[in-house]
Amino acid sequence: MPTARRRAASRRTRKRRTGRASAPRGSGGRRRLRALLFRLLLVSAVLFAGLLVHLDMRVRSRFEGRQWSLPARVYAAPVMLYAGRRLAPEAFAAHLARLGYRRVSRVRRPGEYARDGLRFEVYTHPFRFWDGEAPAHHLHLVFGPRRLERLTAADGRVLDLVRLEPERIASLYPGRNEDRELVRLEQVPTRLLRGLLAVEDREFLRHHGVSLRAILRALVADLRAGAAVQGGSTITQQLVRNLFLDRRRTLTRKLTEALMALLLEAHYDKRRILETYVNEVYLGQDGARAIHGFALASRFYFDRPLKALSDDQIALLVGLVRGPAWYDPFRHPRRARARRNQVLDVFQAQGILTPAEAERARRRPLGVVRPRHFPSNAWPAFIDLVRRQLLRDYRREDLERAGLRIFTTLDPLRQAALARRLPHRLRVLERRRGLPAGTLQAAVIVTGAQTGDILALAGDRGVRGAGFNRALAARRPVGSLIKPFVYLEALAHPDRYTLATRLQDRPLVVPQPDGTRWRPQNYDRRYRGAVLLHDALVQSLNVPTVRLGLALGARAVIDRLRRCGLRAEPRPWPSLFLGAVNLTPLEVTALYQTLANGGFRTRLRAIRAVTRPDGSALQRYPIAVRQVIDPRVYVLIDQALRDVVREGTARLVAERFPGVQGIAGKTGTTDDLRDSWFAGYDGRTLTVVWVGRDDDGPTGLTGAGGALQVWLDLAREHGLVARPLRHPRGVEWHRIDRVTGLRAGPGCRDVIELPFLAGSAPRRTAPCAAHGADRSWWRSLLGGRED
Amino acid sequence: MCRHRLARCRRLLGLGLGLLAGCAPPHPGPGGLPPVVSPGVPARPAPAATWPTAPAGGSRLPAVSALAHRADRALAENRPERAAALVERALDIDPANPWLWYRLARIRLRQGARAQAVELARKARSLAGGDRRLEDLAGRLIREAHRPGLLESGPRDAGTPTGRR
Repeated sequence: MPTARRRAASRRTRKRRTGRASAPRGSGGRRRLRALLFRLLLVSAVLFAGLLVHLDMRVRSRFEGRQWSLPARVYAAPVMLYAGRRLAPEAFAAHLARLGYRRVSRVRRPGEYARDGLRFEVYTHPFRFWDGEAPAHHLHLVFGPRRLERLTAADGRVLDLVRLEPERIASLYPGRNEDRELVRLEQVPTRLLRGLLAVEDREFLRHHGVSLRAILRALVADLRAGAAVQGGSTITQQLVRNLFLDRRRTLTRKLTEALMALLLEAHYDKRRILETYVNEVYLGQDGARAIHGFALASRFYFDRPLKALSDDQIALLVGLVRGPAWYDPFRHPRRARARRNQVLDVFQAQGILTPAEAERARRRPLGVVRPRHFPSNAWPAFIDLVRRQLLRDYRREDLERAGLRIFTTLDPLRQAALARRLPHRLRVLERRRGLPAGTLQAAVIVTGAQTGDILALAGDRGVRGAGFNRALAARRPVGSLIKPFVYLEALAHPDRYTLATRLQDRPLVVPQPDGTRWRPQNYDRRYRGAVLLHDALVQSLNVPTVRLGLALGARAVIDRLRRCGLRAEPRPWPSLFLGAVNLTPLEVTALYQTLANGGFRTRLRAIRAVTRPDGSALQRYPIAVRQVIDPRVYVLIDQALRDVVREGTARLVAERFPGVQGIAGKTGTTDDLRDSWFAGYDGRTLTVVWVGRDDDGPTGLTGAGGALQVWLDLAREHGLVARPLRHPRGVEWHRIDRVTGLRAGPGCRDVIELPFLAGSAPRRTAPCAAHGADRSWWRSLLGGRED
Repeated sequence: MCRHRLARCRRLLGLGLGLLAGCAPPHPGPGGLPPVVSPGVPARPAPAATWPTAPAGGSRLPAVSALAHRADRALAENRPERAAALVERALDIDPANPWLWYRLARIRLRQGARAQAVELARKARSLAGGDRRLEDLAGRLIREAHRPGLLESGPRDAGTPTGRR
């Protein structure tokens, strides 16, 4: 090594050594501090970069994926208007009120109606149904006391049929109850956009997400006022706050907001950001439902589309951005008006409105109309069923976020009547039976007898309540409701059984699988010797039913039940024949639907169709039927069930509605009067009613004493439609002597006319017939008149 | 003389044809379907624009005939799903009207849903209330649906929901 280099190296080493040894302590600390600072900075930079990446991912994933959480909207079936339909004017007025129609003296716009006694003038809203568009109609309606007599257009044309827009009965939200109506930027009036920018963010087109000038201006305003009076947030920052952050006013949150706003602007253009803002901004509250976006706010406050807003209405909506609750025009109209006029001043100052236009707008009243209240869930028990059916076909996420429109079968008029009638009837029953108020519970399902559409449903005595849904979930013993299916199985074997077959009604002991002995008894604990199969069903006799069931076999009865729509698999014990099987009212309805629908098993349908938010069809649920009972055998069982109503355990129906032919049904009562059932149908509907107690205690009510009373209330409300008698080929009718079950003649006193499958009727004639013939011969001989 | 006789013959022939026309079955509407008539109400000739109909109570409902008419038009335009929707709306008003069920059966057959078409035709027949013409038509439809090779490539049965899952 050359000497010079060695010396220099030695100097450097010395210097380092001496430096370490002799340098003051402060100098080393500073260096260490610097190094530490450097490291901290590095770590911070890495962390910051990580934060940026994280925020960037959040911003982009939200914007590039689905931005909107659009709740599914659930609609009732529309009320159809046509001359001749049964519809009381009061029920119609109540329905219009539920739809949010305003009563006015002169009808000019959709959503208004006028009434003069039995005459109505209605301007309907246009509506996009699953099967097409219904335009707005300006209608004149003339009612009778219970019927729509005449339907004409405003120009006097007679109209055959008009569909009112359907009632929105629920919205399925994921968590937050946000509701909105999406619009594209070009659908928003220019004045609204210009006004919004003038009031909320004048620099919008120039800044990159954050406006220092706006922050300074806000700071000065706040300092002058001594409080936070002006916000410095840009529209981008507001959007970030709404989409990603909470409402806390902390420094960290403000910084995050600013960063995300910058990122948002870096990735997306101004149009996209503004459009998102217009759809996102929170503008009011309707109960649990949050009103988001200008389009929905326009409907909510003014009941008109965005494009139809006047200048003053635009100004009110723009003014609401600052504080929808504080400036709520319904609760604080003065404050709202002052804010609107303040906004109009800005519009004028910015040249959006001329002074004359602004002045005109300032003079106008607020112009808000009572909002159409869309309950988030008007009928929880029915919506529960809808949700269950939908979850079979859709993922929960799609259901709650994709803005699906769900068209259901619910008849809003029947449902409203049920909600009104049911609690009242239960109170009356409790009073009569001396039960404490609120003891009784009930479930009711009303379906279209031919179609299987679920028209009304109650799962609780408070029909609007959201508690335990007994219609779908309460499994209760069905008692005698099971009997028609035992008899149906018998009648399907005409070589062995007919309606005139005599069944033994004598004491019976049945050994049980668990070794005990079961002694079934009739409700009145009497025995009648021998009774016609028809009469055993009509009088709901237990002992002959068990005998019949034992002869058929439990397996055969279960198979019959399953063919008729039962999904459960009851245990094949003899007590099954008396209804010792627990079913929900919905399961009972599925079974009786087959009887109400002429032997056709029908899928119970709560949903008709599902569409996308734009109205395009996504799924249809068509009517589907399947014949599961021989039409000839059906006539036999149907005749017995008609006679239950005519002369049997449900004869109260015939007494109350003597002029309506063909109503059929069956009562059901369980041990110690714990459950009271009635399933009955006319030409239009099937109604299944259960009344009981949640604690399974006795109610003191038979099927006729409890459930049938509820059924009758609904029948009174809607009227009953006759069921014509069917005469399929292969069925013949004969007069039968009720005592012997043989063919009757003129001398027989207790006679009934019954249907038989061709060739299965008894061939022998009852002794009374011959006796009558003798008597008739004597009478003719003596010149008497035959009766 | 001979000319007189010929004129008389013509008049008699005209009268005979007129009587025959009076006994003829109802005038089929567009698409060849018969008018919508509720049970118990005899079918009778109808002008092409409005088809007679009646609910179970006996009064005639133009709403139902209007919907049925539109359904027939939709089917003629090969829009069976639209036609089915219209018939279902008519059934909301007049659910026991066998002609509506028969229409629905025709629509399902057109869509290739043979099993459901048969069931719907049976349903129509069960409600026919002695209307021989409807019973015959429904029976014919059932035979048609059972004919082998018919509409083998049709869409799936209408007994299950349509559309995507």
